[in-house]
Amino acid sequence: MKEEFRSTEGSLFVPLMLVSLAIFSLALWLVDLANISYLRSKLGSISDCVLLSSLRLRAEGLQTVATRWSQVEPLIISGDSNGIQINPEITAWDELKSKLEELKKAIPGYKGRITAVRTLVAKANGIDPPKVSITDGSAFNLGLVNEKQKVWDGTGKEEVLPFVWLSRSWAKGEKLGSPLERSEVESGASFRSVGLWWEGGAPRFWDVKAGSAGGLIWDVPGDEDWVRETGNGGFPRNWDEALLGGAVKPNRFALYWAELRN
Amino acid sequence: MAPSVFQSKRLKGQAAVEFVFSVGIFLIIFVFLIKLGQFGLSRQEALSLACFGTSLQSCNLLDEEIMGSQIALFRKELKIYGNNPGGIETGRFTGVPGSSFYQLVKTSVGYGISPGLKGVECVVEQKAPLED
Repeated sequence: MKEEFRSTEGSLFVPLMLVSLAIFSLALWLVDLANISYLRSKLGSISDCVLLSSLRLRAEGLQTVATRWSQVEPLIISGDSNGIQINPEITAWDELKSKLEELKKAIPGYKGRITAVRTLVAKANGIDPPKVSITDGSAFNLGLVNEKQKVWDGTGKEEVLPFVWLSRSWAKGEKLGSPLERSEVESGASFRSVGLWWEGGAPRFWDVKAGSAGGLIWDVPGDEDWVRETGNGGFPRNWDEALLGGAVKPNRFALYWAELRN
Repeated sequence: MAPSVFQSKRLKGQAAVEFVFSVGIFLIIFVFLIKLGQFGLSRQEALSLACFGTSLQSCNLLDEEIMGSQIALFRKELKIYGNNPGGIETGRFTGVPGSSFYQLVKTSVGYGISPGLKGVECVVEQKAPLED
């Protein structure tokens, strides 16, 4: 007679293996979810870093331009709605033209650094620069416009120089305008699923994206009297705002701060 | 036909072996999941700490001593899992060609739960200019 080995109580091995397999599959699914969550945080921080780095170089560029322009102030005697009167010394013309020419040549460099630092910071954070896209670059423009002006020295010599001062392109409607343009950066990356999801015979890739937005603010206490009376957003909108009590002071408190505006 | 006493004992023995074997596998998966979770958590927390350290440096407002104490406080609060094999490093970043032209600052934080399962999170950002 043939022996029967069938258990009347049932085998534990098969159901427990099925449960273990289900838990393992669930674990793989959770690993994918955890990776997505981590990658989103990582890309968010990379976007923040790229955005803030670029904005900080814009702030630095604006502050440096203002500081460099102040080097021509000792050559200037006064200013009015017609233009600038400079020191009648013969060397003053050459010195003024040379300093303004140097500043004019330096401005594209400041603009370039705002862009270049984005690539560098993306690389430094381990992401391929093309994976970082600029969805809105309004706040990444330096925002300065070269302006001509009449200059004379009191001896009868006068000349209209093509670049004498810089006006701002932001907040044209406000004298105390802050550069409130907003820029947006988005970083993207993909990673291979660890298990459950397959596409075309291979594990599928998850695409993850995370963005960041921000801009500059004029870093002065806007409610103070001295700011309301003498401030001009750091750079003037027009020649009248470049003058202050008979003196030529176009760049007043040109201090800016980068902030996130998510 | 009902199994004999001998067959019944044999089946019970087999069930016990299966039970022990299955519970063993179950426990291995369970421990693997716990370790994986701890590893993932330590990576996430290392990233948070690296972001925090870099943002403190890049704001250019605090001196090194205060920054160090703030980073240590934040680390204590996070209670990062594992033995933090890489430690925390802050300072200037010059690891990419051209980076020395900028004032890039970094915070790298080591994480992991065993010597074979570890990594480093590094966050790099351009420092703010001085205001004066």
